[in-house]
Amino acid sequence: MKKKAVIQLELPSENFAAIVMRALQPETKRRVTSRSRVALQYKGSRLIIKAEANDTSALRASLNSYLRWIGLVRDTIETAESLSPSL
Amino acid sequence: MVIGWRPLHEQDSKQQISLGIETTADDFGVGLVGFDGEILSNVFDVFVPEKGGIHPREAARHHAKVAQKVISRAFDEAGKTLKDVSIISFSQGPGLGPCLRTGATAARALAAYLKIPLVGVNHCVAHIEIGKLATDAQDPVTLYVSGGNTIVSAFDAGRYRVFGETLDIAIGNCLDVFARRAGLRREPSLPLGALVEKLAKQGKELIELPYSVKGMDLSFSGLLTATERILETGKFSVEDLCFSLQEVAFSMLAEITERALAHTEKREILLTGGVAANERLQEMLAVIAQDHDSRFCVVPKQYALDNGAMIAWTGILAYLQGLITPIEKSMVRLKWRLDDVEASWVR
Repeated sequence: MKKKAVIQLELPSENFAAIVMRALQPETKRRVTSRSRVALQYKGSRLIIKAEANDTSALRASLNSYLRWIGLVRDTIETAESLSPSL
Repeated sequence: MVIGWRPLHEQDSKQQISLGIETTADDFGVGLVGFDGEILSNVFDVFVPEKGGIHPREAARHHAKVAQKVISRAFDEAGKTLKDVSIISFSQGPGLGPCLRTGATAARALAAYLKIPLVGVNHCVAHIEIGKLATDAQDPVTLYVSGGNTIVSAFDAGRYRVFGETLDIAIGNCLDVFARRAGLRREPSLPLGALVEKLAKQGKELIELPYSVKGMDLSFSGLLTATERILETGKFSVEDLCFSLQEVAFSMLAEITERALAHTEKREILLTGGVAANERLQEMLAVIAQDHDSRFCVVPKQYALDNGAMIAWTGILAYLQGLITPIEKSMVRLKWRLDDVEASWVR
């Protein structure tokens, strides 16, 4: 039986959610492992991650990757804002 | 490398900057390069595993952790702000999946935030292009040697063609694995290959090891196994083994490079990639260049290892041909071959 998880994240703004979506969506087209699949969508500032895998280990690995990348996008945007605050 | 078309416009003529992100393996590198080829900054942070080789997921975790710090340092050193950046270039492949995806994610986020073009760069092409930029080589036979790649290449009919390559492990990997077996420990400022080179200089006896050139291709795995087995016997010193391993492996590289040079009748040899910093390899290739009345060019040490500047520069070359990578089509390419890239900027 497939293992499934849905994570909803409330992000600081809709613009931020859109950037996260654009940064991560290309990776959803090719699976991180052959054992899992992830779909992303956002509504306003809410990002929704839907993951499906053959087993819980693959599900956890996949979610960990996406959560880490979301953290990376946050860090990158924070850096960008600090480097050019008026942008 | 590049998909899509960007019309050239008047803005291209003024000074612009490319930000390059390199994350194919154990380095997280960021470089800022002007469209005129001036390298404004080249900063990196290397993942050093506690033991063994590079674990892709651990390296990717490292990259995500240091990204903020490395990007900020690159701007500090260049004395620039994000407003000065016109394009974001990133290493799209080949490389380790988790590492590539981490760099690609950061690059896409920056391109989306700044609303500027993204350019996906082939890592192997970037090693050649930074070598050409730094040494002013025009049309060389290139020996590209690193931990992940061993390729003899030359430009012909629109692409960097592969004349010879490793059939198994890369020369850098061969030296690194042997070094670990011999108990050597990598330091951030001193890669394992440099430690092997240091010990090799103290070696005196040339031990017989398998020499494996197959046509224009090479095999290092048998050489590595044989060297490891001799190490286990304890009959020879580590210094002699490092010396012998280098002599045999580099002779193999020199042989196919010389044949590529004779075949293509080019007048330059370019040595690039992390192993290019090895002085013994440089010495061997310099002799070949001299014998063939050719110029020998070696990439400077700071651009020999994986770095962001080479990605930034190659991104510029592609972008100036009107080529960009739409974010939606910027999936990483783990096995992207050098000769798959149409290098339309090369004349």
